[in-house]
Amino acid sequence: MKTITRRPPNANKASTGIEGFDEITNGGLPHGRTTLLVGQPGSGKTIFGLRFLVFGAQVCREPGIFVAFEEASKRIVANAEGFGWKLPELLIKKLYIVDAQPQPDLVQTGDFDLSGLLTALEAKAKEMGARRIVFDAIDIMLALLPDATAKRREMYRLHAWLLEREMTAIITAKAGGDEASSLTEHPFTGVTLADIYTAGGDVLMGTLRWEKESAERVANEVAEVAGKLKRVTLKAEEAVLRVKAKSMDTELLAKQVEKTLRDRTTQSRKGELSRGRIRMRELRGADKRNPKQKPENL
Amino acid sequence: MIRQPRFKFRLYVAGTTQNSTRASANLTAFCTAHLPHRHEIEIVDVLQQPKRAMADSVFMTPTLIKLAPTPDRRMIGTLSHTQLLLETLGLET
Repeated sequence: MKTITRRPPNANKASTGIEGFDEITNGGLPHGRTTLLVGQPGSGKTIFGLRFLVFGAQVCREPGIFVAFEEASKRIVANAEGFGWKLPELLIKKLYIVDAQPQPDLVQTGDFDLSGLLTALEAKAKEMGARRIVFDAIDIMLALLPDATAKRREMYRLHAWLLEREMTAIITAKAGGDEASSLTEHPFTGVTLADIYTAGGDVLMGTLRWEKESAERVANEVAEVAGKLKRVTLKAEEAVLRVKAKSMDTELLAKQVEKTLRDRTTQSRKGELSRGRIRMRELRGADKRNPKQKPENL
Repeated sequence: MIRQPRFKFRLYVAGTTQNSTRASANLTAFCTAHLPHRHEIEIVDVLQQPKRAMADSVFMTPTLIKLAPTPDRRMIGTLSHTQLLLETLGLET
């Protein structure tokens, strides 16, 4: 079997668990920084973010929070299952999904800010010791803000909050539109995977699919080996039972022999006894009066 | 005279930030003008009660939730457009 040699983990990088991506980025995303991920709908932004959190929680001991502005948490969990990731196991302590989708009938009257979200996240991050965070489809939230100044201000607030807490973060946004352009203008500390990423989306999905298929292959092999092992075990059990059956046969034979022997002994004892009784009667016959006689001396 | 419904509001604010202070001032003024003696306002500071904000899915501040009369309605922002508030609350005459 071929062994995969992994390069030693880079302390400045947060591994995504996507081998090809970690290789070209020399170990993953910048640790404690924010990375902006811009791409067309369906290019795999959500899955990339989720993969980053799942790997962090499962392998790197870095719990994570997923802030979902677009998709409901139920759908995210279902999609992850399609890739063979077992989210429900992680959801207890190591992964938290925040349903932050604005209600469709939400009315906006005047300016607002993200203080509420950040305060709520602060409490949650402390509680679970979160080190990674993904803001998925931030453009949905930005679109609600009244003007460009407010959008810039909130991005600045969010970025400052993330840096202060040294969280490794991914912010995703749809390509095109005012929101994406206001985002790409913002000087993020990590990297911006925009145009390069759009082309790389297919490669990423391909990698993930390959990973899923190979995981399935391994699972099949394991099942096959387990099946073989079971057959061997069953054969061994059968052999043991056969030996048992044989020894029981022998035992039965021995018991039967013992029984006949005993029968014979009983027979001969019976004969002996009856002979003895006859002898006794003969002896009693000699002094027949004696038992009826009462002793007179007492 | 038809008995008019009582309005119950919960306003989520973030400390004394400008947006939050404006929203509570606007809400109080609006209620005094359009819902005299038939309103209740509960103000929740997310900085003091972050878990309550999470439980109520409040991520943007200020957020106003109209709890009564049903159904619930949500509004975000400084509540500076009186006309929009009247429409949303169904108080237009």
